[in-house]
Amino acid sequence: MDFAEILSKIGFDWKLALANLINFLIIFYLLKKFAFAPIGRIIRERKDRIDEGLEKANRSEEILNASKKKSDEIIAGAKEEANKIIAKGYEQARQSIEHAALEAMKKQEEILLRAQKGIDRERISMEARVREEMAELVAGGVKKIIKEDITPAVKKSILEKVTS
Amino acid sequence: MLNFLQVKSDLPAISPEVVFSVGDFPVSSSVLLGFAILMAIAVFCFVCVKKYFSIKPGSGQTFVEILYEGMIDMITQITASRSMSEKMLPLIGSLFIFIGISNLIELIPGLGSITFGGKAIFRAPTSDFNTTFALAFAMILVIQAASIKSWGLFGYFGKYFQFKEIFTGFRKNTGEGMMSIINFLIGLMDIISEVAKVISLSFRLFGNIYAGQVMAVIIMSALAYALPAVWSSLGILFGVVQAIVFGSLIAAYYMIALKPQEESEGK
Amino acid sequence: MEAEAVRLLAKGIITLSMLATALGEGYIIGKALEAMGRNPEQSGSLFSKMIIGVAMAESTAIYALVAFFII
Repeated sequence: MDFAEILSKIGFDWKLALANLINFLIIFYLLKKFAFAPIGRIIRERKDRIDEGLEKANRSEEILNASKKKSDEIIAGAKEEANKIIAKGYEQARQSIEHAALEAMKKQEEILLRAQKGIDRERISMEARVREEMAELVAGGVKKIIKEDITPAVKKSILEKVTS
Repeated sequence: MLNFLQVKSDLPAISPEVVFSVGDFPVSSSVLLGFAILMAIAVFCFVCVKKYFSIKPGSGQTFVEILYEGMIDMITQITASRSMSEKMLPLIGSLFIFIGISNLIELIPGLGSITFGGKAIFRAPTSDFNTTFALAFAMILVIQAASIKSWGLFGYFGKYFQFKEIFTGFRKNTGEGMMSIINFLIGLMDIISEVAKVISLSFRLFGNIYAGQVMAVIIMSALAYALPAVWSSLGILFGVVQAIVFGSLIAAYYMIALKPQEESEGK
Repeated sequence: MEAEAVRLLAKGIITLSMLATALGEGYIIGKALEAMGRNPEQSGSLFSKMIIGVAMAESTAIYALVAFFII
């Protein structure tokens, strides 16, 4: 039995086979051109877009994080600056207070010193006047007592006696 | 006695009925159903895909895309490279869809009862040996063409007639030469195995589907109620499995036929 | 014996090939399931290889089917 006979025994007819094959080839062409290609393209496009979107989201999150960090930094810097300024103010205030206190003390001492000096001078002049007046007084009293003028020599010796 | 429980009908003929002829070319029932499937696919392509498919998928599109990804995954398990399987997808995928649809369509009850001039006009293409043989033969031809393209003409014939290996083997030593003679005979056997591939591919598909039809008729004649439902549900499984088997075998033969390093390049 | 009777007998004998094919396919599927049970994450790739193996094992039955038609 040859091959063709065997095939015809199970109903093989090359014309029918050809018709069926052409059917399939048309189906293959249609599916390839109008189903697989567009579907694959759609899937790829969607994947690309999703990737893109994810990347964008990542990037914006990064930017957000960076700006947050930046603002935090700025706030922290400002705080530090403020603290510095306040500390500086304190320091300045303290210094000026100290300075003022020192100045005041100095002035006070000066005043005191000057007062002391004035007082001393006053006292000296006062003493001198007192002495003079006293000598005058004494001399007057004595004159009145002895009813005569005392010579300057006597006056002097008396004065010396009184004051020594 | 139990006649009302049994529906007797004739076993389906092996060869399809010729409904009419166009000139010298006969048009059989399987060709007609194949044409109907072609029309359905054309409608799907031109109406659904072109008009309604967009980047924002609806439920129908999601189903189609799951099918698409599933087919790519299936081929990738055989080719082990995504780019290669995307290249092979149109061929394997349309084989899978065509065979799957025609396997499942023959399970529709009453399909064979639609007659025209006393002849059934619809018969599943895969339950017709002409279709399966034509498919297998064409696919093996495609694979041979791809093999020639991959190996070059001399390399391709060198695979089957290993004269060079005998020459180099005997140059080394006698033992190698003996081994190369055995390899030469194995190479000749490969020619037969290419023919056997066509036969086994076509008969596997045809045998499974045709045997399913015969079994359905026999079961109907034994007990026409409830029992055929079990067989039909098994038939769904067999139909899908046979479609997967046909597609993955073509993919596997294709990968074997290519030059090995080209496979690793594609990774 | 008539030639037709012998032919029918031969066809009957050919159907015995179902036995070996069923055994082989069952063995393949059983082993594949065992492997899948051991490492389930591989089951996808094992399944497609199992299908190919089953198809290969089935081809013996296909040759028997061819012989069935030839006789």
